[in-house]
Amino acid sequence: MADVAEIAHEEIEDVEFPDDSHATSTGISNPKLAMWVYLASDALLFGGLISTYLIYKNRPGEIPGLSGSPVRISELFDIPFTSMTTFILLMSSLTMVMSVTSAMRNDQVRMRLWLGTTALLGALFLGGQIYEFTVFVSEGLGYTSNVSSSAFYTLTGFHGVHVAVGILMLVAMLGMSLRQRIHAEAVEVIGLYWHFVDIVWVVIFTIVYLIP
Amino acid sequence: MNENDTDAGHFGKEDPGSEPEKSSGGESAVAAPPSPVVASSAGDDPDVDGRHMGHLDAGHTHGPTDGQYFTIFWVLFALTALEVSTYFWESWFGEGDAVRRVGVTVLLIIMVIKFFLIAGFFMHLRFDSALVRRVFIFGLIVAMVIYTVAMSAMNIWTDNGNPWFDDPPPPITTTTVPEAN
Repeated sequence: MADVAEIAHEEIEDVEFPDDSHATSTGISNPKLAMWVYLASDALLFGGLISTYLIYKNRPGEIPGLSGSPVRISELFDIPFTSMTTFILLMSSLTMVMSVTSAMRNDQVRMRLWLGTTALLGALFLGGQIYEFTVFVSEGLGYTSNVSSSAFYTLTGFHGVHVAVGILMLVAMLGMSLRQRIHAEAVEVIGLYWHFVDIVWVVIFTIVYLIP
Repeated sequence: MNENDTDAGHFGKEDPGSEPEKSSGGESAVAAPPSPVVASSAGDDPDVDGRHMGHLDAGHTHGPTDGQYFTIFWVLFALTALEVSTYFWESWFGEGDAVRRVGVTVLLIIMVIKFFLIAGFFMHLRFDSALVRRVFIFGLIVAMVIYTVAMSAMNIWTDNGNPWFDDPPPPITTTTVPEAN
């Protein structure tokens, strides 16, 4: 009798939550909803940083009372190099989504393979960004050289930190998957974060690097 | 049923009616079952019998397939290549205001398309609950409105580099009034 009641209860749950969500009032699991809310707030952060760059990009060394370098940071951009790192980040989005689908099919081996590839591509992108920063600094344009360089380094640096945090999460998940079975939703939530980082770069690459 | 049983049931088991090629080559299909819990519980535990299966599990797909993900990637790749090409447009087509304006317009359109392709398909926003779509789009719209207002307040659209965010004063125009005889 108790078994019948239990099965009936589960059937009711099926109707209310036919998807993979837990029994929440929103019908979406709490970690996933929390990640979406975080991403919405992160959009505000990056919106502020991009706006700041747009406001200051044409004002190198022109603040009265400050002796900034007259060189604009955009004069030092190496577009072919940055395009290559952009393609690398784009590829990492594909490998991330493949990792999520592998996890949902419970294919743990492929999930680990794609997670590792994503982390590797992310590290390559980050290496490219560090190299780019090094070149700019060697050209004489550091973080405090002028307002346009400060705005640029803050924006792209924040994005780089996001990539670094994403790599840490991917590596941590990879390590955990070697010891225990990983819940597919955990991979999906990290995937959301990773794709958002890619989306932000799509905007930065266009607005900061390509639009004159 | 223990904790692991529930987890295994969440995404852990192939649908008995699913196509076999969906899992071919994977650990769950070729080698031993991915976890002993899944193998032992198949068929006799209603909680594991597909009740909480993921929405991309074989037989329950209402998102893109692997092939579609690759297609979207190649579209994104081509769009990015087109974006990068605009950097060379002035050397190909000659410098000019028209080339620059067309380039900027194309760049902004491509940026929006790429944005929604990644958000819609890779982030699964097109196939997910309407609530997450609303949360994300709300954040996006709020960000765009706030920063458009902020940038407008600092004369970003008309200013050409004045450090104090003021437009240059309008040119003084004088009119000569003819003397009356």
